[in-house]
Amino acid sequence: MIEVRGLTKRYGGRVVVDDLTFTVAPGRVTGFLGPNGAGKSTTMRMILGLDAPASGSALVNGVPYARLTAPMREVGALLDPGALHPGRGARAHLAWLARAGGVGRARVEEVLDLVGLSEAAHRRVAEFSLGMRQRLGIAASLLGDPGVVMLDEPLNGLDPEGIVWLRSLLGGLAAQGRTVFVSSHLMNEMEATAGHVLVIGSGRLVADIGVAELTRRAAGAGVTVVAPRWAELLAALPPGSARADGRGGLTVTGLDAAAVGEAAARRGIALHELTTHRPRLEDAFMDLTRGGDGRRARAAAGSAADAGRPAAESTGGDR
Amino acid sequence: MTTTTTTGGAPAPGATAASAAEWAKLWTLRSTRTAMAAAPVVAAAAAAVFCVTMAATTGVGPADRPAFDVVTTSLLGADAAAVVLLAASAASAGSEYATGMIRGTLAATPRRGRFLLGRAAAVGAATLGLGALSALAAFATGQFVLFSSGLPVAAPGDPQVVRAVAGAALMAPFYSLAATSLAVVARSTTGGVVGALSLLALPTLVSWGPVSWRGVLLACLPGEALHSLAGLTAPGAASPLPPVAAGAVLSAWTVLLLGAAWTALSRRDA
Repeated sequence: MIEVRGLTKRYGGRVVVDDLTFTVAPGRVTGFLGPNGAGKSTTMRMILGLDAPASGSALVNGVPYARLTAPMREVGALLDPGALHPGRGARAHLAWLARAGGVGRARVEEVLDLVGLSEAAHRRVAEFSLGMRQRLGIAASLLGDPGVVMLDEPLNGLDPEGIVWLRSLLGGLAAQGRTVFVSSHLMNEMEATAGHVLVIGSGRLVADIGVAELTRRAAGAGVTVVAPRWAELLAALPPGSARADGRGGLTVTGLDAAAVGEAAARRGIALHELTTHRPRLEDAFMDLTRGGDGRRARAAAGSAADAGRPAAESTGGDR
Repeated sequence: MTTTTTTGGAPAPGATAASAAEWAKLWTLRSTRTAMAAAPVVAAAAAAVFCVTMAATTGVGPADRPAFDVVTTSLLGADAAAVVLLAASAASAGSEYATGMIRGTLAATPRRGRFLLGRAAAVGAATLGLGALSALAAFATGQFVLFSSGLPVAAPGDPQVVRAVAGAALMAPFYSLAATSLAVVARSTTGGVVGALSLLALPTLVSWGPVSWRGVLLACLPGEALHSLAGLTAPGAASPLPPVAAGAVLSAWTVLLLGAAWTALSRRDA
């Protein structure tokens, strides 16, 4: 469980994290989404007590990170896969971490095996690809077998096979009841990985919502129709459900492709194209953070609250 | 969470875990290992050069000097070893900042003081051992130069000799701890090396200053305290500090430098 309350960070006069409040619940993968520079990494550093917030607090399992008696056994974090000494071997890197964290030496081999680096463990990290460094970082985060796992952009540098592997690993960790908090700027990758997402833009919380809910609500969901007799079809559909797109077709919302096709068939209207448009997380995200300026983002957050899911309340509900 | 498996029941990591981790870091990096192993070799080589060139550089050869002069000259090799070890110590701390690994370090050991003391213990122990080896190597080289010239060697059991060698052995750990602290403060290897070397060179700079306050200033610097502990202060040149005072000066510097590093670690974002 991670609880962030009113967390704010300024660099000089610039606010990079702006009054963030959220809870990351155990038992599911929570995606932390936002474009580069939105404040995701800064937030994670504050959760780990590495950066001091200007105001607000971050608690892990109810206490500030720095007060945990055995931090690595409660929280495993990967911030930057490149942040290790390139001259040290992978096993040696995990070995010093294990000592610092009060973790038994046997666990080093376990996590090396878990991330598929046993064969390469003697090699210096300098020889590792970005994907291998990500795996090493993930191994390091799991050393203490922690109940809270926090990974910053772990998908970067992973090959498609690695992404599938990580997805199932994260899903498995969440299924064991752990808190899994994963940041990414790749919205569509998170769609397949996370069950719940926190979206931030310009340091502000824009949405705190289940993935299914977010895509359902996104603008652009519906059916597009291309038909030469589009005006007749428009008249045949329930009022307000369709509008002309100005290019010889219609955009239909509230009806599925089957209903539109049946309606056209009843009137003998030929369809040249009938497409179900399923919004992706990325589209939903763009809707929420478009332009990136604070007012738009606040308006978006406000509309999320209007829709009956206030940002701070929606956590923990849909496990 | 109650998902712990292999780690369950283990004691919470404390000061011992922090120093064991820092000790492991020192010895798992080839560059640090090489520099550490090179220190006694550098000490012996420098001692040989100083002793063999003594006649040419000072005009008085070993044959016309007391045997103890050759001991003190050869122990300049320990100074050279201290420079190598302080550079290795600064690089070890500085590379954490260069690579960003300091964040992993502080996530594993969030208590800044515990991490710093762990590192100080590891660096202090390693450089004390290697400083002692280096001082012995330098001393033995000087004696070998005497022996091979058919000159009488110093008695190894002579208290004055023992004190000189032991005192010279303390240079490496002191300046290595200074380099570690200053590398943390400056967040760079360069800062640690330049800072510690400045500290090493300060007595020379001060000795060019006005006579009236030179003595007081010198007495407050770590270089003089180290020399006083080793009994190497030339009689009459500057007032040698009694050992207790010299120990106090060195302790004060160590506390001051580690305190500066602790403040920097605590106040700044990692």
